[in-house]
Amino acid sequence: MLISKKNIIILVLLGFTSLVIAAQSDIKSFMQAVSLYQDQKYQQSALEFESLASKNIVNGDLYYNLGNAYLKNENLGRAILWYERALRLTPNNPSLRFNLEYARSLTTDKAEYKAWPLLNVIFFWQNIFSSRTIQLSCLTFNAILWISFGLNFIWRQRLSRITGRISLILLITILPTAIYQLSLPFFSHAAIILPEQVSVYSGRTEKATKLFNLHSGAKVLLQNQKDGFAKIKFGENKVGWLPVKDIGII
Amino acid sequence: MIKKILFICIVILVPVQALGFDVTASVDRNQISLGQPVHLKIIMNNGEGDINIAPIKDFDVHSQGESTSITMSGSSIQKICTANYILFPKNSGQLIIPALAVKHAGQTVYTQPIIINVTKTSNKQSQSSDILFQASLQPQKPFIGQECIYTLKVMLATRVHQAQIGEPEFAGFTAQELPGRNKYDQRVAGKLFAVTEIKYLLTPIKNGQLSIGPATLNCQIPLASSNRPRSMFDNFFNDSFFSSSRLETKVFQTNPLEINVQPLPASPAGTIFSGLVGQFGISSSLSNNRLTEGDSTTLTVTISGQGNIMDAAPPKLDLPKQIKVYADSPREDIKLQAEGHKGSKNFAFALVPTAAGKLVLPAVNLTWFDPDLKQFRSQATKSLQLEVLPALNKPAMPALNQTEKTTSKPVSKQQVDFIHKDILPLNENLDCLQNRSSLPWSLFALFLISPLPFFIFCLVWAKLRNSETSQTRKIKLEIQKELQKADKQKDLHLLRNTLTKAISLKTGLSANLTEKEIIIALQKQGMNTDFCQQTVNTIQQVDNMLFGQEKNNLDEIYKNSQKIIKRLI
Repeated sequence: MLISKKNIIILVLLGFTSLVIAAQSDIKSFMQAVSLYQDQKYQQSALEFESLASKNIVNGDLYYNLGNAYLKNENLGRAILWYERALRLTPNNPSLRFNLEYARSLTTDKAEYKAWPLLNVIFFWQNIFSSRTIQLSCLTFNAILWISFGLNFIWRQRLSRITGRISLILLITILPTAIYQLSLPFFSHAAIILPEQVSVYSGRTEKATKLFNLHSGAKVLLQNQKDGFAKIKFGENKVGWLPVKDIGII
Repeated sequence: MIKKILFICIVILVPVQALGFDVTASVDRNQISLGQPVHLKIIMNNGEGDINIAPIKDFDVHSQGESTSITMSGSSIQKICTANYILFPKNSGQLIIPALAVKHAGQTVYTQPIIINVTKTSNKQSQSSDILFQASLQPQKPFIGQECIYTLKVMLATRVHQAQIGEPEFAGFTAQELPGRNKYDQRVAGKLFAVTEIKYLLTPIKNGQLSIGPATLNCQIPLASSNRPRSMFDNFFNDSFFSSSRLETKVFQTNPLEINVQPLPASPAGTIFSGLVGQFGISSSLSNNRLTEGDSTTLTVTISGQGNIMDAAPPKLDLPKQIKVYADSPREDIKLQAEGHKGSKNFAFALVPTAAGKLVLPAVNLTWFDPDLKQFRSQATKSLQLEVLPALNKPAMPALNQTEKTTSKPVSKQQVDFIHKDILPLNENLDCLQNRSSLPWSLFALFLISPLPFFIFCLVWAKLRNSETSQTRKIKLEIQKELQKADKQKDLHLLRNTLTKAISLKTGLSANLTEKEIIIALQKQGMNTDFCQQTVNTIQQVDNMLFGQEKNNLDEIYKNSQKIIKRLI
């Protein structure tokens, strides 16, 4: 069945209209959320911001606002969760770092992690640029590298050799960080404790032995999930199970 | 059809505004008692406007700020701005909040007038007996320029939430809140109150009848459920942690104060009033009272005391003409205490005598007004002696602009500490709605290897280009080797083959060619006729020697063959 020109134009117009309506709806929700925050209605503000985040809008500033709304609403766990998510997207945001530092100062549990200075030195780019910036930089240097070397085979020019070598050095510096960031979700899930206090058990049931308690905002490593329970590790040697609903994965 | 669709899209995309801008005024209640406030809300639909509250004469008006909200109704967006005010009645009776003008985009819209009935007697609910809010001023009849202490006393016998104090307007005064707040307990009529005192330092800047308006205390009080009989657990469970009782917003006002600021009397004859009001003293000193002509010494005059010390001006010096005076910046050491400003102000002068001799620096006078004694007081420093010795070599006078610099104490750095802690505000840019997710593994890897085909293409192309060239080079090397071998071994067969290969390489044709074909092919490759003929002759000679009996001129033939082959390759 042939689609006439007229029908194509109609479809395009309708499609464009629906996109614009959707964008306007997001803007209204955002302004509503900001307005509620200014009126000190933090819970409602947080819900509005979260409705935008659930529409797959991945944005560090939006997550920062969510963290603020939850923190003002005295929900420390969710505040730190959203701040940590924002930190992965915008690590060089000074306001975010300031607020996250303040939120961490309010947590009860003392973190017992050993620092991994070598990893921080090797992958230092992740503390300066967002993962998206690192990926785009890698792709750019990679493209320049292969094009320069290819052209060098044909014309044997000094400029293409120099450009290729510089791109190679930059690529070697930044590519490991990009790969590290992409592979993090496969071998390491960090999570935040959400309720005020949660008990960690020796098994996947609340009738098991209670090993220790954790409090809102504590950062744990998620090792396994089964039967609605998650196996977590806190610090160097504290491992146990707790209900999945009590943690938020970063 | 397309036009209809376009029209529908425009209607949907362009927000449909409600028709016109309008305002409404409302109050939370129309019946109050004297001393009770009424909350006035002015709601502006579809825009903001400038509200003129000047026509409200029967009430003291306190603004509580504005709020804005956006509502969606179907496809339309409505913006609503609400201005909040708290009004305290000035009198009892039927009071009117008149129609208020609100200007918006060149047009003026009016609210409807509201009648409020204010009864004289205050009922039990008009003023909580558990909360007292008072203001006082000491001294009650200050002089102009005299520092006074304005005290706000908040007395609470119950728990309150989110208490906020609205300062009054201190018209006719300079005002400054004093550091520190006094907190103590006080029993009044058998009830224990937790008292907080907030003090302000006021200095009247004009005389006459001045008034300080009421301060306001805005707080939330838990509503007591008075029907239920109280039990021993009430104190425990009435705590905000356990209790889910409702909170009621209440506003309290202090009494306004009328202050009669007295003018200062005329200063005594022969004195110059310094402008200082309080209790003061003056002293002076010389850094060096024996110096050589042209050297400098520092005269320091110190005014100290309590009152408006910071207003102290440099004293007038009546020094001998032989002394040149250079004034330095005054140094202050003044602290703000509970009673007001207290400290000292140092005025340093560099004195440079231009003639030798014994000089007398007369006393410096200070006249100030003492409000406790209600009269002017004066004090003078001691006169100082300065001995100036003649200069031995009449050294040059110091430059006119130079002053003797007093040694200043090094400024000690202070650790910057947080006073309070709070989070930084929201990001209100619409950039927050842009999707900034990173690429997934698959896409990243795909983009990473995407330049590879281009690189492989370049590689293949370069190799192909080089293979043709290398093939030719290989054949040339072969021919040269064979030629050397033929020459060494005097092998005519090899020589003949080498000549044939060289001709094939040059012409690109196969080996078996006639003489005519060889000449034509070589000429096509740009060789001249003589060379072509010479080539053919040499081949003939080699053939004759191979198949014939002649073996003469072998060396010559080899030489000719070498020349020809060299030229061909």
